[in-house]
Amino acid sequence: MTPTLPAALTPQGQGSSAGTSTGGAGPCGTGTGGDAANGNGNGNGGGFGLDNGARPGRATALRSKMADAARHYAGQWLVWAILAFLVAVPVGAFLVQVFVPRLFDQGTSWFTLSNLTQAFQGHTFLGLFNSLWVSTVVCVIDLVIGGGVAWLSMRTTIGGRRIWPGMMWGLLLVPTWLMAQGWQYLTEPNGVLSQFGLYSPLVHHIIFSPIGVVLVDSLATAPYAYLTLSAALGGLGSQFEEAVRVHGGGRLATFRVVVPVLAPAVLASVALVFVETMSDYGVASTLAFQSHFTMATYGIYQAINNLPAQFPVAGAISILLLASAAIPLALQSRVTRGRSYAILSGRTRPATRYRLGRAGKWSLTSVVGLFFAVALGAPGLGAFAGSFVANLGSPLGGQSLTLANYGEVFSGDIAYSHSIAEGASGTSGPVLLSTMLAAITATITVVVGLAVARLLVARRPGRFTKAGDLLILGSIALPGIVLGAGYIFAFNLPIASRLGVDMYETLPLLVMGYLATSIPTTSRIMMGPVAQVHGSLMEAGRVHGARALSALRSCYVPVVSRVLVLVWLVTLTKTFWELPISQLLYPPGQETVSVAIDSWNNNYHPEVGAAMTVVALGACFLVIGLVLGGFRLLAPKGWRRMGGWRSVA
Amino acid sequence: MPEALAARGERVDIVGATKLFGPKAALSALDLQVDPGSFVVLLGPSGSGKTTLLRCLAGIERLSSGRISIGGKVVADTNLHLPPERRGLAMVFQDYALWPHMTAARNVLFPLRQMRVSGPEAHRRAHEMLERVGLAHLAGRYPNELSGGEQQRVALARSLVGGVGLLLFDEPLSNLDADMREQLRLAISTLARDSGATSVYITHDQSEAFSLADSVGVLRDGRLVQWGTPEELYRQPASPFVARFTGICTEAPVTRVGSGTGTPGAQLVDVRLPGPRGAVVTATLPRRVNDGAPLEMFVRPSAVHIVAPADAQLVAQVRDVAFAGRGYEHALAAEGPILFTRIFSDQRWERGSSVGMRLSPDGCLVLPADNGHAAPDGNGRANLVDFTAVGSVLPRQAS
Repeated sequence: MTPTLPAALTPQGQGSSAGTSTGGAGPCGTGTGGDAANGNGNGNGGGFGLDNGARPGRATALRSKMADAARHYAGQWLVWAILAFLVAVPVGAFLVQVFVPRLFDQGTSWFTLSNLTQAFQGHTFLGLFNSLWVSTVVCVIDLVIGGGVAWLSMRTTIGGRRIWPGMMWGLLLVPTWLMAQGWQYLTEPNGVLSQFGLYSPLVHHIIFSPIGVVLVDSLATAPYAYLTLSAALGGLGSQFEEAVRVHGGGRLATFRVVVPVLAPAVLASVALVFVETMSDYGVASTLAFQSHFTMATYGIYQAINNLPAQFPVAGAISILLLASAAIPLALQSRVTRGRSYAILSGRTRPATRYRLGRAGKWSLTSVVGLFFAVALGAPGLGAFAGSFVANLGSPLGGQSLTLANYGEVFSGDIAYSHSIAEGASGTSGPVLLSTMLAAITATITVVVGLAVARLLVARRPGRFTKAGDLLILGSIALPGIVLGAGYIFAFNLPIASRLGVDMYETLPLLVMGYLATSIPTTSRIMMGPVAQVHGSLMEAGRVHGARALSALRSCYVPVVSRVLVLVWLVTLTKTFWELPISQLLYPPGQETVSVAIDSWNNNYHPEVGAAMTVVALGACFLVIGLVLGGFRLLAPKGWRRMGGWRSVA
Repeated sequence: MPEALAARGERVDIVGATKLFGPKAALSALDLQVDPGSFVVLLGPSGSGKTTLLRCLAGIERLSSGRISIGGKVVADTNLHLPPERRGLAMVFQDYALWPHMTAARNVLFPLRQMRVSGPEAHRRAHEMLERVGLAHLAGRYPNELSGGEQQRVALARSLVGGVGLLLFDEPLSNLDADMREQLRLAISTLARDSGATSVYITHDQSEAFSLADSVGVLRDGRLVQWGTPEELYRQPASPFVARFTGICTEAPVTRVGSGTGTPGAQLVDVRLPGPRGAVVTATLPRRVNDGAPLEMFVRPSAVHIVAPADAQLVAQVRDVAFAGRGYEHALAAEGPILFTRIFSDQRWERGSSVGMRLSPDGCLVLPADNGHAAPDGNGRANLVDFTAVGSVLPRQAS
């Protein structure tokens, strides 16, 4: 073996010097020669057919450098550029025109605040005010509901605690408009309850009022509070409670110690529920609208749907809506600043569960079960039962049980309104169309979302990662109605036509709108599992001979395959039932499921809407079942072993 | 080593390798040459650049400047970066990096598939390699069904099965318990050498490095500070930094007394230890030092002998004693204060008792002091804990 270093780095007395071999072989080495010690290793000809480790030609080196730069940076730039085009450009233009209307031919001023001040007047301001107080009340209610279910599931021996998390996820996936609609079918005069002699004017009055709006919003957003608080409770070991108990504290004292430790989760829950409620369009456009209760998101829709469209007003409402989302975030930041809430460590032990007595177990289990029965069962019953009732909700009476609604859904004989293209087909159109669009959206979302997630969790973030992350967070907080309005605005601008981009009222634009909401959310969801995949899995693939794409396919994708499938299904479901963007961007004559159901309801055929809801639900479940079953049957065994959400290396 | 096997190993040349992460230089103009078929270990603490160097060699990281050649072929320089799959190497990772969705057999088959080896031949070679690492009976298991040691053996088989000329090892034993570590070390040492491949191994563990390597390179702050055989590093560390890596039990500032005897590089000198009585001991001076330069003495545990007071060079108090199987290890506090740890004796000396000590010159190395290792007390002494304040309130052990 031949050490070959300058003398300063070798111990004195050895007599070795730079470039000479001492022949001092180690136990196993034979020392292969002095030439090597000179640093002029005898090249073997190498891959370039040159001697002595010589460098390749200049052209080859330049090509290599450009290819390396393209590989390294192009992926990042492309991903962020896609997101910027999908979200920042249309929404940015839509919001900027509020202050600079002349720039977009929306007014004569180069700068004005009049549009913004107009938003504080009359009906517009009322909508904002209503949205604010409803969101505040819903936060409080959901803290109780979500926190209560989380605590009972994680800290007690309540029955059914293995299924409540799944039920919460189910509740999360149900669109708010669908839930509101179900309550409508159930409680309206000559509605479902009427058929069973259970109609109550009081219940009807409550549901079709701000109270009903608060109720439905609370049920719909409770999962956000539950998921946030249950995650925090999961990380809260038993040490705090044990410390209180051994020092003589009772249950109240324990509660008073533990709750402040959960402050970050409580505030995060409040912020999330507040933002979700403020930005909700589903309840605002159905139950609230039917109740003549104005909310901000529906105000945006009305402004866009006016003739002529009032983009500045819609934009002003959107700005105020987005600004309101900052309130809980600022509160969260103020309260948690300067304090440490780090409680999760390697020494955290799982908390013990309180053993409930027999009576307590049954009563609490019944309460939680009742919650899900009301949240999921009531609207579900409303839709299902309503689908078998002729003339559902008609003040003229004539209700009876029938299958004709399903017949109408499959045959499409009734031309329900001239606002929807004549001859529009029944269920095959909207359901198949929504399935196709949702599948396309889900597929693109998973691919792009995975790329974004990998960029976000990269060990060494790229140049635009921070800006990209802000863009993603802003996109998640953006209400769908604002995004849809932004698309209408941006793609109707004269410059779009001049550039030959005539995408308004086309399916590609609709898909782009879907992607703009799904990619940011999905990439954030995937960050967790992606971060758990150790980088060495890909590196191991590369050093053992696989090219980059091959390593991605063989060594990485299988590990996250279950996550990808789950995310695909969640995106499919959310897109399938999506309402605000669909309502604003659907091409005439090509209604999505949500638009079609809403049209049936608004054109005095809620029973057909209910039937279509049931059929669409069936179709959705069928697709989910096919995909999950297909994965189970067709995916390699090794893929199915991956938990997806657990640490994988 | 048989010529045929030696010929399969690739030569590695690293010239002026620099790697910057922002303003921080993880590697600073590092030069290194590794002969074909040799087993070299790069030793250094966290942040020394050894992992970065290995990753640049593997092609996982790009050099900021410099050049890397493997087998005479330039694989990386300022304008060129061959990806890992084109460098003809294999690697064993610290966290095993087995693909969890593949069985042990499929993990080992992977490199052969990339090399387009035919199915039956690939299976035969994979099975053979699993047999060599003693895991043929577990070929059908998935990684989470294997212990840590078994997983690392599968990773070793995966790296060897392709017959590549360069093997890289990224601290492969650090996640294993002590028993498993020794078994794996033996497996790596024998199988890597049997394959004839050149091996570059990184670790922060001195004993691991010395037991595996033909040559050891010590890295510090991205630079190679010493290169040599394990014996050379152990007997003649080039600097206090290297000395601290070779298993010392204490270090102390000393002053030279007299001119010393012997030839430069192997001189014996008398030095005075710190403290009011300032005992004089004989130590080894492994390299020439300038007159008047501040000196530090680095003492190995094996150099310290507990003796009768009459034969002692200095006296110490026993601060702690621990049973170590074949004897006892003691912590001895001498004046200075100097704390000698891991001092072995067949006999147990109780806490608080006074013992005499003699220091063997060959285990006491005197080097120019460096300021890169300041102790919290600011006295420039590392590995020392002031026990005097504590000793005054603890009850003395009955001797």
